[in-house]
Amino acid sequence: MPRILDKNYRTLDRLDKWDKVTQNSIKKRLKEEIGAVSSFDFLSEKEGKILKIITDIAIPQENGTNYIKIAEAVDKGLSDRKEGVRYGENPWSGEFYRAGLKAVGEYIEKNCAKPIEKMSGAELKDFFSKIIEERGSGLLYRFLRRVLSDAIGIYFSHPASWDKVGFPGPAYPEGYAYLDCGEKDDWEPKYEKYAE
Amino acid sequence: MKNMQNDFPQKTQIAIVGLGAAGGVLFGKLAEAGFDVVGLEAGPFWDSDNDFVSDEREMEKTKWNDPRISLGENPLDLGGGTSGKGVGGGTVHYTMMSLRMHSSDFKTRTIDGVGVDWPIDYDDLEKHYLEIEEGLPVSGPDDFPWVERSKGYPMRAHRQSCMDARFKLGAEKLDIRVASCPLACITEPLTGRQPCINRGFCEQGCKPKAKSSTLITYIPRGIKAGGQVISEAMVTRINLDETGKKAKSLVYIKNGKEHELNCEILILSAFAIETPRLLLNNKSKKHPQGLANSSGIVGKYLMCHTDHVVYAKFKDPLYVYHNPPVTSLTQDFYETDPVNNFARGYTLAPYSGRPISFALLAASARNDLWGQKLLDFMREYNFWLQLGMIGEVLPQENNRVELSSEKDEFGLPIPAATFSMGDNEKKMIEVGYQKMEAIMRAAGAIEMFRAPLFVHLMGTTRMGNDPKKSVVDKNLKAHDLDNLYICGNSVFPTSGAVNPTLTTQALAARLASHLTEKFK
Repeated sequence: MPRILDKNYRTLDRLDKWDKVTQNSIKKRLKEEIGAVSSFDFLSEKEGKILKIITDIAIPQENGTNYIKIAEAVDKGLSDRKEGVRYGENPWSGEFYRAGLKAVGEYIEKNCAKPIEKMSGAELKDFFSKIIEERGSGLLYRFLRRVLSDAIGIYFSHPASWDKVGFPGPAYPEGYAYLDCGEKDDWEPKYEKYAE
Repeated sequence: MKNMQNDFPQKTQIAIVGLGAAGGVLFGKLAEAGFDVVGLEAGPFWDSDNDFVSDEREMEKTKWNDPRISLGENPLDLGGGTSGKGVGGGTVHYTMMSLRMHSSDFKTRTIDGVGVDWPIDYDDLEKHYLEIEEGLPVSGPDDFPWVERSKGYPMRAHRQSCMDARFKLGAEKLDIRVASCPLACITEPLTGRQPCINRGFCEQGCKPKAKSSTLITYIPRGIKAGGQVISEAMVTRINLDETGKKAKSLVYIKNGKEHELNCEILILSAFAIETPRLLLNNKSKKHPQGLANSSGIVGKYLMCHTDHVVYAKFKDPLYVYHNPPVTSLTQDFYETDPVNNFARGYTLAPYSGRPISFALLAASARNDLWGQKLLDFMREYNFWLQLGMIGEVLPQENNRVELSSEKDEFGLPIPAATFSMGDNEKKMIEVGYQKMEAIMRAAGAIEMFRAPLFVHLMGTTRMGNDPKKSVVDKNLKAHDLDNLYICGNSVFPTSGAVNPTLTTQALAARLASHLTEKFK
């Protein structure tokens, strides 16, 4: 790898430098979305389990104490309310998730030799790849696209993800003093080397 | 300062629906002119210190999330980045780009044979552009070669960063002129406001109050002058007097209860979807197609801008998160060029996205960015730059906002918007992509890919001289009614190729001056 980011960089080491409102918002997120698996509110436990399998393909993570509970966080944002933008034939969000998960089950029953819970990592990737890379127009494609977008929104809202991409997170009240190429403030993440 | 949360007025001289870019300016200026003004806003009254967080996800709350249906070949993002909810509206989360339209934008039919001419021209708006640039204020460069100005910018331009230097390097190798982007962002201290500290979360609400949103500029001015704000108030109906020619009162829902506010003058500044929605939903015997809609034009000619992006990777990190979203640009491709196979043109500007928006657009553009490959791509986040084009989208009658048969929580029909690109846009986007790739290649990019995107909403209650072909006249008064005015992006007859906010605000300043001259 030509670009090696400082592995010891932790955005959260600077949490006390942020304004209080931002600190509280991120602390709440960490408390609610990191760690042991919790229950699902809107989706059934069975639907939730399938969603978790799909979000783990969309954004692979190591199981453990730092696991970001993407599926559960998606579930918390779902309801039977009509809200947000509904595209074309897609149902409203809650109904879309239920219909999409049902479509996943039906597709797997028809095309795969075993239920989704028993599929290997490679088989799951093959399933996801087949649907999403074909860029179809059906419900299943539109649903996996939606799951991928929602998963991205949750995963990259966590400090541990910022550490991996080299984003230093909130920067208020400090801001940045150095803007020119090759310059940065001393608390920003560093690359050990990056030349090709 | 928050007021009027527990004390609801029964009547006012001027009622303004929607306190965003246009409504905010109208509220401030009309209250200062001595009118009795009440501003109604569907969303909350934000407190920059206690409600704003340096975080992409949390600040989604400042965007419009009420239900909307998006249809057509190129369905648009109808909430998200295009419209705001809360006092200040979209100016709370916009990129602050404060660009004037060019004089040719007002006469595209005459000059290029496309679109339609505006009933006003650049000279009519110049002094109002200037007034808004000073009122916000806007920071800008000494030399902005594409637009004629009667006076310089009131505040020095924003600092340039690595992203701008890289764009400039590529552009200048190709003899393309580059300038700092004029921004509604202060670069010098003002009372109660801190100059920009390059925190970068400008599209998430500005905590230092460097951003000149109407939330912290014109709206506090209006309150100081006696204007009243009613937030979290959803306007559901407009009542007319017995002649059917005058709006008599409006009805709104706050905290689950209906309230009525009588007014002498009503101004709708609720943006390109809520304004036509309200009009279309006010059908009566005298106005069977909806209010102000004898022309049948309300809701039609919905426009946006192309905002297509080229992602370009470099050998060294650029750290684009240092910046406000946009701090430099070129308008060398703005006007119609006979070498092209399309009319009109575009603005090009490098853009700095924070991780979520950066990943979302990239993943939407490429089939392979999911799973481990997405994570590997994001590990190089700091080595990428996004270059985008704000391209003109021509008005088409079939692109429109309508009422669906579905109802929202207020019992109102949910709006449905349909948008499909025309041939002119398709040709322009291809040329724009090629131009952006050439610039990035000249700057040293080692890898690139394209990402389609549309942004901004305009049209739907267009202004014009002919009551059969437009909704409001050149003074923004509805042709069909004596005291109903509409101000905002919805009155644009054409889109131009710049972010619409400054023009919307100049139109608001012009309307405020007109009403003051007429009624004071």
